[in-house]
Amino acid sequence: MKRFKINRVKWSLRAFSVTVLCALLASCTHTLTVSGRIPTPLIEPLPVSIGLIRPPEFSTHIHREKLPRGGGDWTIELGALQNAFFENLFDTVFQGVQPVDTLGCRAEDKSIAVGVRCSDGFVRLSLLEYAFLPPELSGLKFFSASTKYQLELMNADGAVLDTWVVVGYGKNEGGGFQPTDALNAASVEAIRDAGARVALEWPKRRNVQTWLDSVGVKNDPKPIM
Amino acid sequence: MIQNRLCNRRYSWKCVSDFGRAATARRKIDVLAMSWKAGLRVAARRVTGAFGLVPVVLLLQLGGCATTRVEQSRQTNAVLGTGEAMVILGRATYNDRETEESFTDCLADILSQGSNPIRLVSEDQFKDDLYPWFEARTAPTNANDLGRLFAEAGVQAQIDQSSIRYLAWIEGDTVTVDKGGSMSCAVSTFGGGCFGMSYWEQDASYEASIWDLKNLSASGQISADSNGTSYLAGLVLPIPILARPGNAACKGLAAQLRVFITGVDD
Repeated sequence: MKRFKINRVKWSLRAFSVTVLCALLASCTHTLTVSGRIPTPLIEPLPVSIGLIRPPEFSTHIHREKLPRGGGDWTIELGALQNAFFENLFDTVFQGVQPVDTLGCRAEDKSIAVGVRCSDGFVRLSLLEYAFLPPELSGLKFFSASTKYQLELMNADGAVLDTWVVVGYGKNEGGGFQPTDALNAASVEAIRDAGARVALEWPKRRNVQTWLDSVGVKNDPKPIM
Repeated sequence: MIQNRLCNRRYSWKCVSDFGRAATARRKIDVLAMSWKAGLRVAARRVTGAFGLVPVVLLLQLGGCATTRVEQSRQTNAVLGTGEAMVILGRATYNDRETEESFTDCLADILSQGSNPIRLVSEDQFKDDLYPWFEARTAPTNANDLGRLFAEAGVQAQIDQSSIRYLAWIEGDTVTVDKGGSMSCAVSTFGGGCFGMSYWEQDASYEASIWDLKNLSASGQISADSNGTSYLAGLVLPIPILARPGNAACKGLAAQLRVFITGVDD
């Protein structure tokens, strides 16, 4: 009877140790699907229509990273939110947006969509880089994240008129017990920041202005605050 | 030996009008003040060196205290009308110091409650409704930019639709200015416990800049500074005695903000 009791205690201790070990291992692996609100920009749309080109991986982008010094393994699904965010953004920035896979306005396209005029140009949007930094590595109190996008403007014939790389930055106070929540908020802020720059700064670029002039849009750029 | 006095339970504020007349009013309000900080620090060091029960028990009889000072500068006398709302925004920066979200949440909680609640539009809702004009990078930095912002398509209409009269920008943070003492915890098969004592002094400094969105001008500023020392006593169990200067600054700032916006105390 005594031996049975000792064994029971021993097995309980072992089970407890295994549970603690599993919990510690699980805490080193973080999986996050970035989610957040998608605001509609309060801006006047440019009276042009564009074809929006995004690489297939834009909507499915997953960032995987193993951080040094015990920072853990991170899997961050960014694609779905950034895709929905920029779809909504471009729908507001331009009067007409048509998601397309190919460049140019071909004769067969015109015949298929009778009565629908070709786009005035094309914008290719791609994510160049996503990066993040937890408080343990930065020494600061917050998670920070950055998104680097490239916007390529092409005319109706597919000639590249402008290439612009825009970086968005976001940060959020890192709660020790909710690292994924803090990183989610920082990532959403980084996407919003990049989106704000696209909405306000991109139309004021010289090459974009020239393109707008060429398609007959009178655009009066206002200074950004 | 611990030298301590009871908390004074008072703080003060100063009103300065835009005409340069400094009308100073001091009022006693329920925010704790502390003057026995140095005494407790000595106690902390003694306990750390040679653990004594009496000082710790005495410490447990006391609560953490914080001294708060609130100052106000007012440029206009307008107050919130019926149905009008206010929005509280934390000023975002790209450096390592930024107003904590918990602080603006604390202000919002206090102002939206009580016998004289203020209608608040949430920060998230406001930023979404006016995206991209109030992001960290694009938000106006002073009230003079309001005219240009309101000339943008849809901005004025959105503000009118939400009936937002005042916007309060909150800047500042809480920092630890001093800390010391030591405490160690141990766990063994026979049990465990913590012994020792540590302390940390925090300084909370915040400022609210109030903008009138009807007149497109700055209405005034309110600042709140709070200081307090917290202690963690290890008497088998770790026992915290927290001063919470951030919370004291929040309460002080919220009380004065309410008077500023509504003209009525709670």
